[in-house]
Formats: sequence, structure tokens, C-alpha cells
Amino acid sequence: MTKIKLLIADDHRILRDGIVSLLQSEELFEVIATAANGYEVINLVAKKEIDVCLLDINMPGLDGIETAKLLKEKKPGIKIIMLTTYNDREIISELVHIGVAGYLLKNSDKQELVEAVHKVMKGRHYFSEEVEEIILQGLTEKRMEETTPALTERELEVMHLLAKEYTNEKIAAALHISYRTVETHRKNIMQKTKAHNLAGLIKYAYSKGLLK
Amino acid sequence: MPAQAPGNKPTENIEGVYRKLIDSMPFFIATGLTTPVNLKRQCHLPGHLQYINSRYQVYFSEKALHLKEEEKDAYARTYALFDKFIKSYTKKDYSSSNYYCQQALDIAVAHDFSFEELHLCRPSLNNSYFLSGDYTNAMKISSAGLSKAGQVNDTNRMAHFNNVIGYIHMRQKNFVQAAQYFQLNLQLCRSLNDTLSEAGALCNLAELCIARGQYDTAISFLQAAEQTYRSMKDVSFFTPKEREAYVSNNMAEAYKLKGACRQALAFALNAASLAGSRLTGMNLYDKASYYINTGAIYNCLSNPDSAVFFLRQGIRVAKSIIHREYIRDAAEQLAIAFAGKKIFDSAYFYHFLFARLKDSINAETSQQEILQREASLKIEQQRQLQQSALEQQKLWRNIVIAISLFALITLGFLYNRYRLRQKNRYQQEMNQQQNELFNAIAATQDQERKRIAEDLHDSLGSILSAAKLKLSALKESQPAMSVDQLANYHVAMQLLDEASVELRNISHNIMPATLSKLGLVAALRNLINQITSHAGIQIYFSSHGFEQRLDEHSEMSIYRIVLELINNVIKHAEASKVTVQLIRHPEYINLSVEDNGRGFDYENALKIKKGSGLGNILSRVEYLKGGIDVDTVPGRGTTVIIDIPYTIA
Repeated sequence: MTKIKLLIADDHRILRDGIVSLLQSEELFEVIATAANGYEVINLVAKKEIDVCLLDINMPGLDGIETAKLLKEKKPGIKIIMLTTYNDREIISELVHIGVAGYLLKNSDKQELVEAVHKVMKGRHYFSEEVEEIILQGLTEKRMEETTPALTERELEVMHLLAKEYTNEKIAAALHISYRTVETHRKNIMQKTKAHNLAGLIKYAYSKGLLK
Repeated sequence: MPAQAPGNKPTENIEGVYRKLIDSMPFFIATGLTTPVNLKRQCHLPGHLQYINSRYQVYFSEKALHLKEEEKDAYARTYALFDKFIKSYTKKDYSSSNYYCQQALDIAVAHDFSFEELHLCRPSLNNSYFLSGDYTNAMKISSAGLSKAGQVNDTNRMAHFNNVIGYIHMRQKNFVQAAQYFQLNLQLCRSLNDTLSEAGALCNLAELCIARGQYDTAISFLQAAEQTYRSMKDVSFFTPKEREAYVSNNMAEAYKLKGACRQALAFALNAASLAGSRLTGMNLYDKASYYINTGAIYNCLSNPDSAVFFLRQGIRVAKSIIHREYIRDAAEQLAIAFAGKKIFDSAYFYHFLFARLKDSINAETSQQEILQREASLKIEQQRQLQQSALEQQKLWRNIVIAISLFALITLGFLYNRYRLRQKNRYQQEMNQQQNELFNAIAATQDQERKRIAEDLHDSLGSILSAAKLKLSALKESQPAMSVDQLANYHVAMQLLDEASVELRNISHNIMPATLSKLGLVAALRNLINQITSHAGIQIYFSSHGFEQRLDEHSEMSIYRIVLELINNVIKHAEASKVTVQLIRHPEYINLSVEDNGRGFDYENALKIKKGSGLGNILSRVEYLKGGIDVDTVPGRGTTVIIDIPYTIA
């Protein structure tokens, strides 16, 4: 059975060495090379055959996110596992979107790391438990966001009054807001709906079922 | 009328002294005595010789002049110049004589030779100006002489100058002033008990009266003078008879002009007989004039034979001294007399002579008048020139003052403007500097936050991770661990995990990694998700037009502003719903945070903004050159609208 060829990228030598020594005992793994930043990774994968790439996010020069993008573009066959301390939802979702196979937080132990490598080699995904949760949460909220109308509640109120040919002053009085606020809402509505004038806005509103 | 220059009549005593000196003159010259003592005596001589004998005068003056010019002493120089004056004066070269005498006078005045000033220079210079027709300068010289005489209390000289000034006035037909000065002269002469001078003064007054047509007054003055002269005896050089003849002649003139030719004849005959008596001191001018006057009066009385007799004597004397005016007058009267005798060829001859002389004299007189007029014109021109020069000077001065003033005002104005501009520039610079400073501080702060956050996250996080790895490695190398050992291992691992989580939170609060890695919208979405999941509040976030990231500094600032605004809402607004919108317009970014809370008093909040969240928001907005508008009504929620301009990089 051929060994799994690994590339470890982290800007901290102590961490690189730690991971290397941790995986030395694994007979199925072979650490081909280590890298301190994204450029080294790109150079190495061009010369050597790599199966799995363990990527840190925070690296000088080309960071983990950019490196992941480039790798997916140039060597789509290489499985990428992010090994990072970042658990920000937006970062995770960005990387999932890019197409990384695994996402491990740095508090993972050896067992998790080994499992992740094996899993991605089989063509599947592996996320730390915490990361998995964040992704799921994000998915549900995304759905909620999508259902949120493009216009806010207040903007809809303003639009209804605009359709009734209210002037800015009248709208301000009706909604107990200032003239300037009405103007801001109006401009924002126009900008969001890409309408150039009131007629265009009304047309948009009818087409979206916002006005009946 | 004899045209005698005033002041030329020396008083008796002085004249006697001169005469003696002149008598001894050939001796001085012969012995060649030229010692300074003698020289000084000699000095006085030539100037006065003119009264005696012009032939000697020239000879002596040349000699004396030569000697005196060798003397450098001011006194001698005065006399040397004075003699030069005499030379020009006798040649009737008045421009030179004026010049020399003026120099002599200057030296005399400078060295306070008051005798020379009052007795020589001023009287002579006066005569010289007078004869050159420059009455103005003559008057100036004599007026100064009068005041000087008053200063040194020399009554004799005061009388003299009064007389001279009166004479000048008479010549200029200022009869009133002339009378005043003559009267002053008369009074002074009386106060001096100088009867001779007094008589002279009376004669002058009489002359004035004749000129004014006051013949009777003239006659009374002359009578008084005549009495004086008749009562006097011969004194040395002076002969009262000579003066008597002069008075008689003037009497005759007065009566003749009055029309009383018979009375006139008596006086004229008296004068003529005195002239014929070979009196010492009687000069030929007067003699000629007396004969001619007598002849004229005989003509007036239609006695041509007697007239011819006297006129022939007169014309002979006049011819001997080549006095053209007298020859002319005599010729005129002879023509009349011969016509009366019906000897017409002689009458014609004298008339022809008369006419020729008249023309030439007229021509000369008019030439002299022209010269006089030219002189006065010159003086007037000079005065005008000075005046115009003065006026020009004044004009220039005024122009200079005006220009200076204008320049000063302009400069002041410019300086003021310059200062104001400098001040404005300074203010602007200050403001800009302040802005830049705040900018720099804010930017540095944000940079620092980012650096600290990343450092914490990266270095400390990595070390924690490495520690965990080492600990795992330790556990693997020790498969048979005691229960206690295993428990300790798990606690240690747990502590390291906690440390990692804590570290992540801290660094996230300082600067969320999402912001730097993925940008403003992602960071805000992250932020709002976190808040929504922890606080019991619904926050809607929507963004529009942020496919492209903003510059790092704007992103961080806006992130902080939103964070602060949401914090405010959570802390104070008691709102259940918040809408955060970030919309990119073509030229600005609009951020609005809208809540349904209780609203607040914005104006009041502004007053206590210092150090508060609102203060931070305001400075950040100001720094981004944005505008903030807080629309809040208590009980009806708050909308904060911030517009931030941006330029596409």
C-alpha cells in the first residue's frame, strides 16, 4: 500500500515540527515537505507529487485562503485540509465555498488529524465538530436571509407612500421621521432596486409583488 | 535839475581830512612807504579821491590796489575790493562795480568793520545799484544800512540812510514815502545840531516838492536852507556860497515852474553870478546848469540877447565836461533865443543840434530804461523761478507724501490681508494637521489592533497548539499511564483548549480576523450573527454593492462605527428589532442603523458625548469626512444615517 504523501504549511517552525513528529509514527503517512508560506506551497506542489496538503490560514505573503484558491485552480487533485485557529463562520464558509476537503481547528488531537486525512483521501469531507456546527448554523441563517425581502420594513413603508404620490415632507410627517431620513431611504431604495425614477420603482414593486 | 546821486556829499570834516591826505599822497608814493601802517592810511584814500580829482584817483588807486592785494588781511581785502569797485564805478561798469562792492560789503559785514560797512560799502553799493537802475537792491542795501546804523547808534548814518531811502522813493515816484524818509532825515539832522546836513535835508524836501508840483512849499524849504547857508562862514573845503547858488538855482526852478519868471530871474541871476565868481568847490556840472537855467528864464521873459549871453556860457561849460543833457538843453534854448532874435540860420543850427542830441539821449535813455526794466525783469524772473522752484518742490513734496501715504496704506492693507491669509492658512494647516493626526492615530490604532490580534492569534495560538501536540506526543510515548497521570493529562489538555478559546475571543474582539481576511461585509455579518445568537435581539443586516472591498482603514472604521452603534442600541434603546444597512451608492456609502427602541435626546447626548460611544462614532465619521444624521423621537425609535464619501481606488 502506497503511503499518503503529505505537505505541511505553517509559518511557525515549532508547529510544523510538532505535526511532523506527531505523524512520524503513522506508517501510512509520509511527510514529503514543509512550507512556511503560500508561495512555497505553490512551488512545492509544482515539483512534487502531493496527496494531502495541511494548510494554516495565517501565513505571511500568500495566506491560507489565497493558497487554497490557487491550489484548487492549479492542482485540483490535491486534498486540502485547513489546520487553523480561526473558527469565524465567514472564513469557514468562504473556504468551504472554495472547496477545501477538511477544516480542523488547532485544538484537534492526533487522532482527529489522522482520521481527517484518511477521510479526505477517500473523497469525503472532514470538519471538526465545532466547525461542522458553525457551517450548519450558517446554512439555516442563509436560508433566512434569502427570504428576507430586499427592502427593509421601513423602506417598504416609504415605497408605499411614494406610490401614493406622497412628497418627502408628507412621508416624513406620516412616519414620524425626518425629511433627511426619508430622502436617505428613498435613495437607498432606488440604489437597491436599480430603479432610475419613481415609475421604475413602482414597476419593480409590482413585479416583485410588493405592491398590490 | 542836476542829477546828483545821493550820499555823495561828504561832510565838512571828513572832506578836509581827505584833502590833506591827498596833498601828502605824492610824498607817500615818492618815498615808497608801503608799511602796513601807512598802507592802512593809504587804503582810505583812493575811494575818496573821486571827489577831488579823477586823474590822481586812478593813479593812486592802481598803486594802492597793487599794494593792498598783497596783503591777505581781511581789512585790506575790503579796501582792495572797494578800489576795484571804484574803478568799475567810474567806468560806469555797474555790473562789475556791484559785484566788487557786494564782496567788499560781505567781508566788512563778516568781520564787523562797521565803519567801512556804513561809510563806504553800503553808500557806494547803494549808488552803484541806484545808477544801474536796480532800485530794489539799492533799497535793500540802504535799509540794512539803516537798521545797522540804528544798532550801532550812529545817528549820522541813520540820517544818511533815511536820506538815501527817501531819494530812492522819490525816484520811484513814491512821494509819500520819500517825504516820510526826508522828514526823518531832517529830524535826525536837527537832533545832531548839524545845520549843514539840515539844510541839505531841506533842499531834498524842496526837490521833492518841486517834483510833486508843490512849488510854494518848495520855496519855503529853500528859503530856510538859504538862511542856513547865508549864516555860515567858509569852513575849510566847504563853501556856503556854493550851496547858496544851488538853493538859488532851485528857487529859480520853482518860480519858473510856478510861472513867476520875474522872481525866478532874480534867483537865477544870483546862482549864475555865484557860478561866475570862481568859488572853490563849485563843480562844472552845477555851473553849466545855472547858466543854462538863467538863459532859459531870459527866454521865458522874451529877452533873447541876455538869454544868448548866458546860454553860450552854459553850453561852453557843458561842452567842456561833455555833458550831453546840458548841451541839449542849452541848444534848445539857444534855438529859441536866436529865433527870437530872428537869426534863423543859428536858430536852425542849434535846433538841429538839439534834435540830434535829444534823439541820441532818448535812445540811450530808453536803452537805459530797457536795461533797468531788464534788470527788474531779471529779478522778477529770478523771484518767479525761485517761487516756481519752491512750488515745484512743494508739489514734489506733496506728491512724495501722497505716494508715501498711498504706499503706506496699500502696504498696511496688503500686510493685513497677508496676515489674515497667513492666519487662515495657519488655521487650515492646524485643522488639517489635527485631522491628519487623528487619522494617523486612528490608523495606527487600527493597525496596532490588527497586529496585536494577529500576533496573539498566531504566535500565542501556535505555541498553545504546539504545546498540545507535544503533550499528545508525550502521552503516546507513555502508553501505560496511571489513572492519576491520565487524569492530569486530560486536565492539562483541557486547560490548553480553554486557553486557545480565550485567546481566540480576545483577539477577535481586538480585531476580527474576518475583517482583515474577508472584508467588511463578511465581518459585519459575522458580528451580527454572534450578537443575535447571544443577545435577545433581532438584527437584520443587509448590504448592497460590496462585491469589491474597501480600503482597510475605511473598513475598520465602518466596522467600529457599526459595532458602537449596535452596542448603544443594546445598552440604551430597549429595542427588539434593529436593521443595519450598508449600501454603496456611486459616490458614497450609506450606513443606516434603525431601531424600534425608545429613542433618545440627541442634542443632550451630543453635549455629554465626550468619551462616550457617540463621541467615538462622531470622530470616526468626521475622520472619514462623512456626515451623520440622527433621526430620533423619544418613543418612536432611532435612525442613524451616516454617509461616507469614497473614491474608487
